[in-house]
Amino acid sequence: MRWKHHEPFFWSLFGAGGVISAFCVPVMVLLTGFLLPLHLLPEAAYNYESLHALAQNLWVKGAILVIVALSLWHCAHRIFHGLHDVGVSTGPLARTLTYGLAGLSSLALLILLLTL
Amino acid sequence: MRQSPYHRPRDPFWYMRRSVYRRYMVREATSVFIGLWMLNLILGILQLSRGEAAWTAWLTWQQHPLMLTFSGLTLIMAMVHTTTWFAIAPKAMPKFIAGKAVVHQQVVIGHWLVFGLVSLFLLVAVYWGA
Repeated sequence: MRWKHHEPFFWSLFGAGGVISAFCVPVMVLLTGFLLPLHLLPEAAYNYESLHALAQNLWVKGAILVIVALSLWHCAHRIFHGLHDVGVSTGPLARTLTYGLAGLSSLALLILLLTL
Repeated sequence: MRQSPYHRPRDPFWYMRRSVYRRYMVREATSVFIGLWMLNLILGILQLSRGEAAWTAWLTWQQHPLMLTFSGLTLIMAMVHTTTWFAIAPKAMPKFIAGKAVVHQQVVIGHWLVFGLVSLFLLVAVYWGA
């Protein structure tokens, strides 16, 4: 019964990720999916130096980490519980693949931001 | 050896039967797009850390029709997530706050106002921050 009470903790991270991605993801996709690659903003906005400088800011690093890590956890939780709906019976493997991938990529992002 | 447990036969496309089920599945599917998009963003930050050539290559890859389609679908799915999340927000709140009844419509409108402010702030920050 070691795992009896993990769900409230997982769910609270899922809820936090749901809130933060609901507010932030649409504009982030608009920015990095369309405005930056299609050069719809002034040149200074999408060139390497200015974005690299922007990413050096500690507040920006923190914001990126919180938004990405919580959103990934939110998605992992939804996908894990959604597996049942598409007829996949879940177990430790599915748990590792969903939450594990979210955790590992968040860790990779943390290391990346620290060394940036 | 343990016998595998019995699974009742089930229609794999059960959610196509009713529109409420279909909308539920679309809502849950938003997570697949947002999750993949987040991984793509981490890749972009990796390329940003590796230098100008790597960053430009990533940004150019985002212009590919395949990636633009993915970004477009993710934008739509992200809006579905936002809409559904804001719609259930008042239902997850206490019925009364400081003795006053919570008006669901006001909570949803409040969420959209904050959404507008956050979006505007990020757009302005990237536009002028550069």
